[in-house]
Amino acid sequence: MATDWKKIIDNLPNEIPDTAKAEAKNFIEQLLTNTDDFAKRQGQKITLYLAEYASGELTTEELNECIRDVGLLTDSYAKMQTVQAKQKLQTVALGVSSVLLKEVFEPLQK
Amino acid sequence: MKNNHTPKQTFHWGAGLAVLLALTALISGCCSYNSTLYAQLGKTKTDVAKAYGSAANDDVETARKDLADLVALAEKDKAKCPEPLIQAQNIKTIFDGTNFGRKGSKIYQHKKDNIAEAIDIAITTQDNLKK
Repeated sequence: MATDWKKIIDNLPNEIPDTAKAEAKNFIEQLLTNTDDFAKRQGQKITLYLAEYASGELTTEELNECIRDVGLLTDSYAKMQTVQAKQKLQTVALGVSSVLLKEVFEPLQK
Repeated sequence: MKNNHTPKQTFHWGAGLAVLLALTALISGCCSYNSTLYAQLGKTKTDVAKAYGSAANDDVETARKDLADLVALAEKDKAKCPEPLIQAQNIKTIFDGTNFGRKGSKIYQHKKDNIAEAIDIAITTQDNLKK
């Protein structure tokens, strides 16, 4: 069960390059093992969204919307942190947008 | 390759950068507790919860107006403190992406949870500034 989300990413259509899938898995894994509770929770949410997408409870558009919201939340959370933590979380927010959305989930909508 | 920068020019660049960094730190360090914004966040939280609870047009429009007011309020202070404006815009973006006709669906529940969390983050930000 714990690694089901990885299989879901592996099973995405072939038009998503393997490198993009690998980066996405690595990014989510880093969120799940993050020492920051907020970041960890966002990772858990993303895996839940993936499971619901795989079971047909979320459409591709809805999956993208949910992950975009995670990026917005992380951006907002970063704004209330001290400089060092802010930079780390801004990087996470950027990763949600560049690693997950642009490379993997947005192309699924086309 | 020959370095055309004289020590004097290098100093000027360095000094300019230092002044820029100091100004940036000064500007971003000017955030202070905003009681009007805090009150608006409280009102927005209540009305947004009501909108997601009922999905009724009147409630949704009330929450939409709250969010527009919240963004406008945060906009006033953006020069000295841009963070609340970004947080307000993020809350509004989550709200604007909600299809209130899909109450009961998974996406609706996720939107509801995420917007509540986004508002709480903005409230906590103001709480932290109060200390």
